[in-house]
Amino acid sequence: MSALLETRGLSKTFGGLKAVQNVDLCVGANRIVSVIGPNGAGKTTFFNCLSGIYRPDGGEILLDGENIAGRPPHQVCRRGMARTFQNIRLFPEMTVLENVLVAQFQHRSLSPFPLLFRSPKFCGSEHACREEALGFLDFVGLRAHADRISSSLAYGQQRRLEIARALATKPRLLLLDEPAAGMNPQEAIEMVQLISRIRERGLAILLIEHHMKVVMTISDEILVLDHGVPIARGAPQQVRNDPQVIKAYLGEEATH
Amino acid sequence: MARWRPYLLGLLGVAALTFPFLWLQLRPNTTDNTIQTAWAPEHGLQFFGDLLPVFLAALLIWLGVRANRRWRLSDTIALTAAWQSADKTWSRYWAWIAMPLVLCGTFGFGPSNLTLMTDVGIYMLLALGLNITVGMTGLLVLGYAGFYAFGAYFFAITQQHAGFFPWWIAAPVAFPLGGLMGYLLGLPCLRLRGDYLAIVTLGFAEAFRETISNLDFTGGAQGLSIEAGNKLRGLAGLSHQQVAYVVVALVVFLAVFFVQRLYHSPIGRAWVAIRENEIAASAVGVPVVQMKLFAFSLSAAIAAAAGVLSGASDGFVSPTLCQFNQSISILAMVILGGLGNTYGVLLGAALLYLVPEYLKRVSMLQDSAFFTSLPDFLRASFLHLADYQFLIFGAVMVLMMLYRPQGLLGSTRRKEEILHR
Repeated sequence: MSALLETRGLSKTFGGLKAVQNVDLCVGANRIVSVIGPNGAGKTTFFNCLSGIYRPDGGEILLDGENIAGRPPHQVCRRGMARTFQNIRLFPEMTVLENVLVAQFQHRSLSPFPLLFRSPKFCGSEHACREEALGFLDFVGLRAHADRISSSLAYGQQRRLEIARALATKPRLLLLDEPAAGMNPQEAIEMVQLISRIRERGLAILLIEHHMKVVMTISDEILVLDHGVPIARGAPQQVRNDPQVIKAYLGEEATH
Repeated sequence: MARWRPYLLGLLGVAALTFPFLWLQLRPNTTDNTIQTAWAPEHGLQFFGDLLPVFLAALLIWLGVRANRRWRLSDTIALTAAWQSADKTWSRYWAWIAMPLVLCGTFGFGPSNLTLMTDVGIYMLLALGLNITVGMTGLLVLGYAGFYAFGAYFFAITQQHAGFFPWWIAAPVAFPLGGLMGYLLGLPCLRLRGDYLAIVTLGFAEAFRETISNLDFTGGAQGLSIEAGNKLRGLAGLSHQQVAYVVVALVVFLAVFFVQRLYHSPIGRAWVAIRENEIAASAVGVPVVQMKLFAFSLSAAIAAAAGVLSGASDGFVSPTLCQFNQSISILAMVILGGLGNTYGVLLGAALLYLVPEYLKRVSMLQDSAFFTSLPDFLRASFLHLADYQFLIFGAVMVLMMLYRPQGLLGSTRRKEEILHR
């Protein structure tokens, strides 16, 4: 199986804090891989390195064999990796539809004359993009809210809008940073269904999640980080029973 | 009562601070060479008499704001709502209504009003340009007038040496040159996060002003004059004021047209996305640094072209073009009119330029029937109104920040964004 995303020895330090150390990860095409770990384990830092928001201090990030470590976020996105954020980052003043339209930027032609004089071709592409964006909104169940201001959406809807926006960049790999955070069990189930439907579209998914039920249901593979160090990896069942993982989550057993 | 306490305290504070200036007078005593402080209430009374119209105006504005809140007038008029969306059908035709009206002004205005309106047009261009960077992309620029002066001086200097270099060649040349200037200036600071651009442009404008007021070939503090052949001239039976007015009006229409088209395109959406959340914008594939540079270069280019037009209509250029005041008043036009709203900034430019000008003109009306019918104390204070323009301006700005932080035609969405940042 060819790896879509592979990291080799990825590291990031902030001053003296080693946030991510020597993480090796492999995500195959159309697989769902989860990264879990206690709070402060370096999961989000790892994501920020992958998506170009942080520049890693060491290691390689291979996306389809090309090293993208240190590239700015928009170039990473252009190469087919999109992400959502743990603390939702929508464009609050824009409508729901506009939020998705922004994400189509890299697929749009920006030649000045068609754009300024609204050539039929430009109008056609604008129209097609609109339809496509509405399609993505439909996919996450927000089509009815297309004209609302995005900041007026409910919390769960905002999370789904972020996913629709990430999908609109047409990625091959989607990074989801705690998509089910703060959701009730019913909403979490819907999120699981949404993630499986995304996978059915042929995307690979790298997931950070605290909701163990979500993680255990949909992951093909799990990587456990603790203090920036990978301590376990493998299939859900395997990881669940790993003594080191239990230690990291529950603390060390008293040994007398 | 508790509601009014801060205002009363403020008034008392102002009274205490101004007491020595307003109510006392220093009288030199020539016999024994001492200076005596004497009670002289007439100054203070004069001052408050002068301010009476300001108080009345403030009262009116206050009542207006109350009425607006009660009956939602601004939403009913809904200029903003209809103009902001590209889909509302009638908003597409505004130009066909506005253009003939504006062009009729060529014959409707007298020479002095035409000059005034030409200047308004140039300020509209500047406000439009600055709005791209400040309003749409959300970057602060404090030395915008630097690019304006750059365009004007480029025109003035080149035409002096080239002989034949009329405005209609200079403006299209100054446009890309201004853009290049903006690009070079933006390149180092737009790669960084934060408001470096504000400081760098501020420095640029000041350095530019100091340079042109101290060099020989830029004419020093006097500036340069532009040869008659290169200025805007009378043409086909129109006076040169009329030609200047028409040209500037058409350029403003052109600029509005293109800026609006950019705004409602992937580029405009990318700008707004950067303003709203830079990290998210870059994460969905918007090349943030390039788009910021493009926005800023375009702003600078528009300013440079406006500079050429200003030189061509006034016939001279001087270092006052890029005074700090100038940059700030353009910024105030953008903020007053409504950050990010093209029509709003046009309104802001018109108001901020015309109101002080007309305040100055009020004194010319002192013999008119309306004025002679006023009681003496009111008449005197109306005549002094222009002296208080900065006071009024400041008060209006404070009121705006309190009640309409999004600007006159800004959207209420924008208001929420500002208040909850």
